[in-house]
Amino acid sequence: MALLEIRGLTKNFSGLTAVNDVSMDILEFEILGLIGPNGAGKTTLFNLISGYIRPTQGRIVFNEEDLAGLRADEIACRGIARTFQASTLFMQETLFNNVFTGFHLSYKQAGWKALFHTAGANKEEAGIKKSVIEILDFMGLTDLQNELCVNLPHGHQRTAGVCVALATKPKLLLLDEPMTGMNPSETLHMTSLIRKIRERGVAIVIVEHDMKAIMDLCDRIVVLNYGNKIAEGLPQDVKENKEVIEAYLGKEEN
Amino acid sequence: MVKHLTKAREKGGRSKHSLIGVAIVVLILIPFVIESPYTIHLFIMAFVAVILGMTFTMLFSSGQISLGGAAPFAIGAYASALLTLNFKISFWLALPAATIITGILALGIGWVLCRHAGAAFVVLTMVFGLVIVQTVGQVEEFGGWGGLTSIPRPDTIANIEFVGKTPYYYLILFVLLIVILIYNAFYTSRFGRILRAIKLSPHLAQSLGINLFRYRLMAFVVAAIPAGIVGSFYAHYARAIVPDTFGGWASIRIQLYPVLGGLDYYILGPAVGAIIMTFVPEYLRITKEVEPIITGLLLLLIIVFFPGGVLGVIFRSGRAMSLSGGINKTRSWLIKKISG
Repeated sequence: MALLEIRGLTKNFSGLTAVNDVSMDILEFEILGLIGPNGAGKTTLFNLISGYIRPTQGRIVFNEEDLAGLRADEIACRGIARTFQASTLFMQETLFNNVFTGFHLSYKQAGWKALFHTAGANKEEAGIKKSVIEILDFMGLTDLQNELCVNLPHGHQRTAGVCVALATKPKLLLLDEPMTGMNPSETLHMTSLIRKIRERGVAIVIVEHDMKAIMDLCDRIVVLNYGNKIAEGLPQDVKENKEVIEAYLGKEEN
Repeated sequence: MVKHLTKAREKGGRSKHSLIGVAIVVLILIPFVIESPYTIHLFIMAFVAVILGMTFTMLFSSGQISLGGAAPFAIGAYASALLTLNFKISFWLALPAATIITGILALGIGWVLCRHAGAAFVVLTMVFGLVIVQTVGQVEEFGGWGGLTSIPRPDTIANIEFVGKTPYYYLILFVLLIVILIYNAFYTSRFGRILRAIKLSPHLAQSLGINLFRYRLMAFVVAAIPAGIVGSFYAHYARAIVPDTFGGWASIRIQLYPVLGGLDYYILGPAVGAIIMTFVPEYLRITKEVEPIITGLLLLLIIVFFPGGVLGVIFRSGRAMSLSGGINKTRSWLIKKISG
């Protein structure tokens, strides 16, 4: 049983078809790479899955539940988290508070109790603060917890984005170009972090242009071109796929 | 080392509390020290302004800018005045009734308005504020443009007769302290964090499972209710209300208080701004006709040259959502001034 099933998904932007009749499965515990040239529809696909835009046609089924018509926050509640292409963080907040806010869905106590700082609410909050530190430890950012996000170097901002997404305790994590702008050693570090996240039982879909990292990391790869799925399979097979090579390098003449 | 730090923090906590205590005692003693009823009147109007300014900040903390801040103020005032005039009920019943009416109307209006953000929300609140003024102005049952007069004083309660300014002073001071207490609780709880998240990045907030509409609506209602209470108070204090009191200019003034005081200081900002705006024009003997011009120019100058407001200039940097954060800033500023 697939964790996420996508069937016949199509998105038209006033005449432009960004995603065209794409069907694919995301399995539990897998790391799936989503690649393709610029404008292939990868980010649009992410936006469709996470509810930021509505599909023109097609179905998205997560954990046997149809996600049609759900808002982004409702989809987050169901266990799909995402990061954004540009470093999207609460820039004027500390790293700690960013992750703290990410735990929004973990609160069980009634709101009025939080307002009056009852013993129960305080205990809950203390527990959540512990989990914040736990995530920061896990991702190796504990030392920077009191820094404002705007002051973090770019690589750390990318990692911080993943920390915040993890705070929602997702079953499926969508990473939009997590390694953009990173140097090789940072990329290597991020690769190992993503593997560690998978070991916690999270399925991961990753959009990335760094082919070496993708080939290294992913169990399976799906290739998009002009909104169409042109290939799917193991990294080796995809690498040697004629259509994929053409999509990236152009058709050989003669 | 750790012990040292906790001790220092405790010490900070104590002096913070004592600073708040001193402020409250001073406010309670004011009517004993100041004999001029006019000055007491200014204090009353300043407290009304402080509360209204704080309601703007509450909405602003969720990233929404309202240009209709006077609307819930008007609803509270008219609801309370009409209830006492038409049904002869006591102010002490009309006050909670007006509060509930304001809350329910805010829920309904917010249900429509809070689906919008940014410029759309600004325009909608402004239009809505004007619609309220037109409604009470055009409808004779609401008093028309002439307004409502001979609104009764609050009945004597617990042997306190509402004659002179002093009882009103203590009533509005009490309301002010309660509103500060509740708003501070909001800002220091997870709601404050959620609102700030929505303000800083609605996109990211939504991806964390935060229902933008629900929390914007919450801020909208939480902002409206104290304005309704103050409206009810004002109606029975001034004892006559006219639609013009609640017009577009009133909404702009409400917005000016926190901007002048400092938008980064959610409680102290509107307080400082409202007190300056109430007392300074009085002592400069600026006439009512000229005041709007000066106020408008002042607003422009602040936004252009001192976007952090008065507190931003004094404290140089930083922000404080909670009261204690603001008090801490004040404390360290005082210590620095005294020691150097």
